[in-house]
Amino acid sequence: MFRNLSTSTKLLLLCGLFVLSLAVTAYSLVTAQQIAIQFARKELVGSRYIAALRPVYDVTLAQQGEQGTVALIRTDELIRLLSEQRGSAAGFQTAELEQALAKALRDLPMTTVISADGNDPVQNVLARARSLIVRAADDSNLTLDPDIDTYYLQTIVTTKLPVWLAQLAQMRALFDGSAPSGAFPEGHKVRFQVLDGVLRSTLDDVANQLEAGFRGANGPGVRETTEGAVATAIAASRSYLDALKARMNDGSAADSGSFAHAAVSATAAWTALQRELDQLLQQRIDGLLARLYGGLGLSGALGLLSILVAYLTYRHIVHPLKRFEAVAETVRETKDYRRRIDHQSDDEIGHLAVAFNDMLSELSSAREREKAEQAELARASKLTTMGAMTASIAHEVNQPLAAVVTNGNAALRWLANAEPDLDEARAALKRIVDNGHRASKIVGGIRAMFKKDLAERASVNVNDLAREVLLLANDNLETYGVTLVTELRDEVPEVLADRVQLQQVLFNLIVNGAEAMASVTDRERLLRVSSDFHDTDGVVITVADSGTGIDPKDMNQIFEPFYTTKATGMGMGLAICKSIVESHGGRLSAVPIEPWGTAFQITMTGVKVA
Amino acid sequence: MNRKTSDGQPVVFVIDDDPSVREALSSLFRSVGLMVELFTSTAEFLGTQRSVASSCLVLDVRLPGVSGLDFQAELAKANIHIPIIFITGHGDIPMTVKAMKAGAVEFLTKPFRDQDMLDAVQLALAKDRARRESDKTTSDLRTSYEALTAREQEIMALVTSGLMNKQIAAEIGVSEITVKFHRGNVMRKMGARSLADLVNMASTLGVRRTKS
Repeated sequence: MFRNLSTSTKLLLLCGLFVLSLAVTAYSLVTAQQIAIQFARKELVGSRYIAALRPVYDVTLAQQGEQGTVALIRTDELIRLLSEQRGSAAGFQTAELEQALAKALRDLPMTTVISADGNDPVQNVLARARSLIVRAADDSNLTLDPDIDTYYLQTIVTTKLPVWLAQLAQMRALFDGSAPSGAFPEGHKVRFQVLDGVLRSTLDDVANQLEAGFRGANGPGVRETTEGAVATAIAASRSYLDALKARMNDGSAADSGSFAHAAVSATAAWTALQRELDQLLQQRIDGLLARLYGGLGLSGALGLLSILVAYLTYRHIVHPLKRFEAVAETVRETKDYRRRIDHQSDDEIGHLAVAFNDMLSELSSAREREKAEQAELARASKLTTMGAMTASIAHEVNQPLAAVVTNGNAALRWLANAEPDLDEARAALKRIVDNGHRASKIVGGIRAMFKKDLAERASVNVNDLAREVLLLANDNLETYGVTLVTELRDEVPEVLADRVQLQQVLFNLIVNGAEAMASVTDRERLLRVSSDFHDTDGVVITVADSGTGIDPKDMNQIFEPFYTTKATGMGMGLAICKSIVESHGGRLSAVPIEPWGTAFQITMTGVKVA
Repeated sequence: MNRKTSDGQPVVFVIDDDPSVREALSSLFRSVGLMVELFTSTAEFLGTQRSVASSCLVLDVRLPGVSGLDFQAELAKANIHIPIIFITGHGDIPMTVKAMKAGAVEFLTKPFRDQDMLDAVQLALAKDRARRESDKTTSDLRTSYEALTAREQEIMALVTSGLMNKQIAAEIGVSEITVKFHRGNVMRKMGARSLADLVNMASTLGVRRTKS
């Protein structure tokens, strides 16, 4: 079934399949990239959500140092901001935690409340905020981040820094809860030791994880933007701890400034990290989008290219093939083997064109050879026609003649016998009569042969006919060293005639003319073959030689049977020619030419002109 | 047409596809007292039981199917020895030479002179008669030889090879008297008038002494 499809359909199919496969590839690419992009976008939403929570820390951490600043944060405003950040990102189940945070915020006292039992409202807020951050990180896929740099950054941002800040706050609460001066209770000391160790290990964790993040980062960008801030924050926290330790040991005055510095630099580091995280996420999204558009563009370009190539293939294969087909068809119809395909290229089609043209030349020359052979054959057969015909006539007439002679002899013998047998003699004589009639019939039949059925006649262009015959007679003309002059008038109309018979007449006249000049040595042997048309006479074909001419007294006899001036002639040629022309309703005549030669004229008067 | 030919009467066979020529020839031959059998084709001629009397064949060169010259070769191949006189409407020299070389008696061009034809026929019949007689002699000898006993044939071979009675007796292990007896029988049965006669007969028959 496939083999019967046209080449253009096949090409279309091939191109279509290719474009389809490109489209499928592009679709799967889009899907895969879309998933990654969605993932990163959700992370970004999570990160921004967490960033929106930072004021909670700013405020809660500053509150106890700077009285009344809590009022700066409006719980409703925060919740609105948070839900806005959450936006349309699916899977965020933070509403409950937001409400819990809001409640904790509202519970936050406006003044410093010393509470050593650890049931600190600040801690409560921070704990709520932390769990909200963790939930947001989980729900926004931040915790599942696939890249090394962003993974460590998000770990620091979503888990370490909230813990760090909470521990700083705990530490402050521990010292602010105790007497502003004087010795610490023993319990505080132990708690300080524990908290100090935990906070320091948190700081180490942050430093380590940041270092790991740097290692996984592409280029120094992350380190440049974050390292300074984080180092400052860690240093600030450490000096705060050192200050606390010193205060505990020697009871020196509390340094609220050092806490503020630690808290501010930690939040600053947090902000820097968060910004960097956002930037990295945004970069990832941009990269993914760029790859997506790049892939789509490439697929599209490939698709267009394949369509272009298919079109070019179509032009370079199907077009030439169609031309081949057209030429082959034309050659078949017109038999014009000179036609060639005009196509040049160095591919299979080009080679095919060359082979095709070679084949046509071969065909053409084969056809020429065949034509020449046919012409040769026709020439040979026509040359022998006259001879064969006379031989046949001779044989046909000879049979009854032999019978007549033999019967005559037999009759004589029957009569000459001692007892003449009259019956036998009579029978023999009767056979003589019969054979005489038979011979006469044969002669009549030969005559009838020249009055062939009119049905065999067709329109004949006498000029074409003359050219054909001259081609056939060429050998004879060369043999006699005859110069040929043709004056064939183009406008001669076609005549209704038996082509073969007319050919024989012309052939005979031309060969006769050539032979008539055999003895001419003192002038050119010129044979002029012309055709003409007169309104009165009709079509006239003239064969004129420059021979010795015909003796005027013989002029009347030359068309008689068995009259010949040639040593080897039968004397039948002109007689047969005349009877053929007359059977066509035409006229054959001979006129002497001055100063020498004879012109034979075939005048097709009264011939039905086609 | 007379097909009833009595033995001894010479017969002229005519093969020509033209009935007018056939009938004319028939009339001519009958007018001089010859028996004639007419055939339109070579196949018809071959398919007819022919008389054993001396005969000759007047054959047209141009026949439908097979040419007269080819038929001549065919007959020679089939070991049918009949003298042939060719007639043709348009004879040429190569054709004539070929026919004569192949043993034709005469080659006549139509229309021919009656006397030429009759002379050719007489010559052909004489040739045939002579061949038949020579054939008959050999065949008679063969019959006589077949009538001899095996011993007599053996002795004939030995005698004609030039052995004397005594040698023959020693050769075949019988008495000389017995050899003489057989030898007399051989001479009588074969109708030989002398030893030379018998030697001639042996050579005609191809009888030779076989080495024992």
